[in-house]
Amino acid sequence: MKTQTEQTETNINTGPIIQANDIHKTYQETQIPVKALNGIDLQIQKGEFTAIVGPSGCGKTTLLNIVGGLDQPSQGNVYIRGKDITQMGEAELSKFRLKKIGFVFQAYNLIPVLTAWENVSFIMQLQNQSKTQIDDRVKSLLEEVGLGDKLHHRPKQLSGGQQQRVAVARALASKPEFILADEPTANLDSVSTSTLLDIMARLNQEERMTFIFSTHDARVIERARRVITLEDGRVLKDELLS
Amino acid sequence: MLITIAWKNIWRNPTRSLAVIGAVALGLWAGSYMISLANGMNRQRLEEQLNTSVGHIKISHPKFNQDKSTEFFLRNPDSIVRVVSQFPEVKAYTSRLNCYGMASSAAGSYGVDIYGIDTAQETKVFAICQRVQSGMFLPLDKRNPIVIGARLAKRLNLKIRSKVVLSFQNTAGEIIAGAFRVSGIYALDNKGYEESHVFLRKSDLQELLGLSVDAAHQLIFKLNDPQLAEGLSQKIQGDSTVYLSESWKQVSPELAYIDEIMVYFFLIFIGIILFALSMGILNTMLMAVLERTRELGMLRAIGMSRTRVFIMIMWETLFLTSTGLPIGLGLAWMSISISHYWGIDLSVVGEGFEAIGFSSFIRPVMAPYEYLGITVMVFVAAFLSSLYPAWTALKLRPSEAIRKI
Amino acid sequence: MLYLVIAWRNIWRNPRRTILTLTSILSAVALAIFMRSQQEGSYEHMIHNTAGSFLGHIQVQLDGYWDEQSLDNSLSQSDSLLEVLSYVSNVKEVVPRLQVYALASGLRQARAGLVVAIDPGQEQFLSAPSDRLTKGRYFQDPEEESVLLAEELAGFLDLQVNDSLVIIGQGYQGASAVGKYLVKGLVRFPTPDLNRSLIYIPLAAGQELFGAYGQLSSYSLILNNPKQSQETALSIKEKLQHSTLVAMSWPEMAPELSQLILSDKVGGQIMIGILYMVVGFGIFGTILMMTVERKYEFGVMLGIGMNRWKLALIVFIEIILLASIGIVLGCLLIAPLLIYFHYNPIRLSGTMAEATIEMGMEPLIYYSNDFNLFVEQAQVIWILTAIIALYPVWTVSRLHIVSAMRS
Repeated sequence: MKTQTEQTETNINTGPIIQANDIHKTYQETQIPVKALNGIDLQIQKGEFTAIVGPSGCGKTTLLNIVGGLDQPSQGNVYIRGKDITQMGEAELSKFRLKKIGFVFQAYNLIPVLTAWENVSFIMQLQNQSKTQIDDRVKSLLEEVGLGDKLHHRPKQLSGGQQQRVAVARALASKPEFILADEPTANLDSVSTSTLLDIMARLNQEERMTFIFSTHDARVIERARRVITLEDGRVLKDELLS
Repeated sequence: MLITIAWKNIWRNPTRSLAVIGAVALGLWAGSYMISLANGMNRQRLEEQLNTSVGHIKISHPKFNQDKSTEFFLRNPDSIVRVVSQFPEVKAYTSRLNCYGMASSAAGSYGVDIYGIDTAQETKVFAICQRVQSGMFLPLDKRNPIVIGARLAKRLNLKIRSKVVLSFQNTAGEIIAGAFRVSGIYALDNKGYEESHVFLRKSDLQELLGLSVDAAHQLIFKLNDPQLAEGLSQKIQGDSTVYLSESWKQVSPELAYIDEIMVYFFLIFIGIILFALSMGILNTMLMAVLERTRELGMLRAIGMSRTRVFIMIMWETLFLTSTGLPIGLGLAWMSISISHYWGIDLSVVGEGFEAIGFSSFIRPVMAPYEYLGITVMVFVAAFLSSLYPAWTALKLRPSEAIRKI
Repeated sequence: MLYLVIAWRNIWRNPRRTILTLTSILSAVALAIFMRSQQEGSYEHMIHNTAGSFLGHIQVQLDGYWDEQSLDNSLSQSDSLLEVLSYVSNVKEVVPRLQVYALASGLRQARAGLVVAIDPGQEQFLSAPSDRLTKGRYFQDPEEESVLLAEELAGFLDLQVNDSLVIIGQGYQGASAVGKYLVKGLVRFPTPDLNRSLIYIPLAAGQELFGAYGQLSSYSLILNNPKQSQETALSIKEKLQHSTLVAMSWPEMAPELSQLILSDKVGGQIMIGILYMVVGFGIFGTILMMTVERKYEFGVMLGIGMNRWKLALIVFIEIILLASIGIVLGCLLIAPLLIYFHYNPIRLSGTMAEATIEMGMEPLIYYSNDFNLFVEQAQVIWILTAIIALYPVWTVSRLHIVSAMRS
């Protein structure tokens, strides 16, 4: 195996965005330790549209959480653009997530008391973007996800699909390296699902935005160009489609 | 079954339930303790005043109260005493002469209430003689002895054996002066009384006033129980116009009034605490109902009747509230008992209390009926604050409730 | 600013809960202010009745007079002293007095009375006798041989205006003092003690009666700011250092009053403390529920990279804001009531009135409208809620993102 410095030098621009080596995760919460991930290696290149699939409890969400810096692996390292995020402290990691990673969660993504416009501009404020930058970009982001007419609606006044689209707009706000979407369609009907996927696919093609989904939704898998299947915390299959 | 479920339900979120139970327990504890302090102060004040200055029943000439003129004396006190002493409630009596006058010494003068007392009988009714700090009460072998309060002694710069001149009006309306020697100095919690009441031998005062030996301005009776005074006083009065009989409640309405005001204080104070508690309970139960929308919907769907849901929520509220009750009252009972035994010394700020006749040494006390009263009030508050959450639970429709996440 | 907006909107996410919480805060604040106002009102009044309108806020006396209040311990009238006193800062008026207990006698009755010899002009600043007249007229000539009698004393002595009153007492240096005076008017005092014993006489006539020519018991001082009485007394004491005179402030002269005020205040504060403790638990319960309910949301916000302390700050602002609304509403609710009762004190009746008079107080309930009362309670609630707000702050500070989002 190469040393970390070599890897940083060689991979920084040409190599994968995400490089995960031998990830293990054991939950010690109950009396019996639960092995959620059992030695996973993963490489994600820029511009991928990848679905991580598998039955309930296979470790999809855990893997996504670790790749997204929400959780620490018990063993193994995760490099994002050559930076080992498993070595980062809480504050550094938080800032890293804010600037480099976009998240779309399963549900309740948004701050319920803020409008669509405010939800997006709020994260940009946290990113210390200037007021003029924010004003210019928020509207175009929301228009990009097809919500130009719902700028001042609160999450409650939006459908589930619309809420997820706001979440996508918010994830895009920082121009992240990639977007992690954990079961983004779990609570959506088929029309909303296909609209959401259309938007994501378009962003992927037009702007080369990298998307990684965890899902067991056939409609999502259908559109993915790479499908990684997990079982019992290991990679079972890794196939490139289309 | 409903009750078991209700009891288990309140322990689903122990922190939240404990916050409510803790609030009830601490609120009741603190509230009860405050009440016991006020009770203790007032009970001591009442006992002290009855024992040192008021007595239980006072009989005087019908016009004496109004004018306080020495000419209105009881002409035949012995016959009154004979009649009244036949009541079994009566424990002791004493007779007194009384006039207003002025006490003067080289250091100044002050207006005083002068009492001529029957030294043999007085001690059976009043405890003033036990409050003598220095010197002796009214020794028989001294000429013209006088007992004064410590406050007056300070004011007129008097010590034991100091000479003091009393001037007052005799029954003929003439102003006369008599020289007395201080034989004793007494001290009471009631500093105002202490400053303005002096005691002489009845025989000395009677001579100066120009009254016959058996005349008296007041007959004071002591009963077995001060609460009997009002009824007995009315019986003694009958339709007599020769004398006026008054119970301590009439002689000193503020003492009776304090009893009355304590009841209001109790109700208002506990009421306010319970109001504040109810707000918390209502809020907690409402949340408990709303976060269990699905579950309650499920219960309704599988056939639990509306009434039962309603009753279950009421039981939960009752448990939530009443668990704190025995803890709070238990703590109150313990702390009250302990501090009653040792007493609490408030003498740091005591002078202020004493100026209005309260002791600065307090023994807190709370009556059983007050514990009961608090219990009843807590249950009423629990019942009232259960209504809204229970009603909210009732309004949930099974189908909608299940659909909601 | 956006934080404030988020906090404000969060408050109204669950209006039912917010309203219940607000109700308990505002009623506690309103009750506490009302009670404190009644306390402070009665203190202000007690101080005014004893110090402001009888004792004076400060008295300058001969050293030793206070312990032995006899004519022999009187001081000599002095224009230079008067001048010194009137130039002390905070001193508004200087009122000379000679006061002695003596026996007052009518036709048939006699009773001990407090004879107060006054400068009819200056006395208006202290006890304002002419405003207290219920019958007859006030002194016109500082040397006239007449008296004003307190109503109850006059009733007891069976005297009317234009009757004569005989004063019998002990004069300066043991001389006997007897004089006969015309009753020129009757005055009414709110303090029952004074109403039973007071006799006003013009200064010159009083000095002649007691053979105390040029002598005074005290100079009573009226201050611009009565709350500064102790400080002012100290500065006067310094000026009088090398004389036989001393200055006493009203708390020294009436220690019972200042201690009564202190003990009553402490009692009231304990009761308010208990109330707040109970209310505090209620608020804590609400905050606890809010925190538990919003764990997922907090998880999302931390997940997208929001700084923990910024999130905690939003929650903190939210709670303080909620408390502030409660405080403002409570104050708005109670303020009109206080202002009304301040200008229209409640008059007690029946046994209550009798009892308060018996205890030496007026049968009136006074209310203070001091702005500090509001500030005081607002501070208490702010501190209380700030302490409670530590709970969600603590929760957020150690929230585990993954497990928060799993719930």
